[in-house]
Amino acid sequence: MDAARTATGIAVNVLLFAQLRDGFGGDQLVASLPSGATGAELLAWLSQRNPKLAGLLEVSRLAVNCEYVSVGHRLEDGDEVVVIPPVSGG
Amino acid sequence: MMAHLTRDPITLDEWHGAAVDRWDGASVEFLGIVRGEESGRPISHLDYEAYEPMAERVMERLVQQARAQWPLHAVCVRHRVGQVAVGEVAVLIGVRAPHRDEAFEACRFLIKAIKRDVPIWKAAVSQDGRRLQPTCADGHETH
Repeated sequence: MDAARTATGIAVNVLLFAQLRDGFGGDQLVASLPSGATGAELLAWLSQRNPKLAGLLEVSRLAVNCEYVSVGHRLEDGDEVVVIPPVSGG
Repeated sequence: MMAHLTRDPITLDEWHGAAVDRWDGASVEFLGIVRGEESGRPISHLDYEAYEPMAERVMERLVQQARAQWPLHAVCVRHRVGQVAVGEVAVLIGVRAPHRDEAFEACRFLIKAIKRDVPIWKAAVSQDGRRLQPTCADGHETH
């Protein structure tokens, strides 16, 4: 799914894994955010859509282009953002 | 030898077959094995999923960090994805170095960092095929 550019904001593709995918019922969605939105705003947007997952989102990390970014990272229109709930490899 | 994810069983052949450097004085390996129970409940297997491109990139970066910190020669990291049965190896970490302290320390660094940073998730599956609720890092079930 391509993130469409809008006049008033940005759209980012969000990839979801593990419990977050199960909780949202899908592995991908498009978030519409104001221009200049940060990772924290994306997390808040996701929490609003699914308040039951707010606690899990609070302890999740974000990655853009396969690199972890801080919640203060400014998102760009069309970014692919991965929301990473606490990992459990090993 | 680099860091890889694999859907196939992890064998030690490749790691044990890696040429020994003339300066190597210690070889340490860690095998993470699937335990037969999760939070006190018997299980049949673990189901590992990964965000694969990032998982391999993060594992390779951690190997580079270990190499920068200790004088390592051969380093091998393998992590399974998909279904891994009880008793099978889920993760292999092998390091060779001139001395045992640096080999043990590097191996320990790698397993701790992998468990903390690599986007891999496991779900336990019970013997009757039910997916058990994943537990958070603090051991509490998520709802």
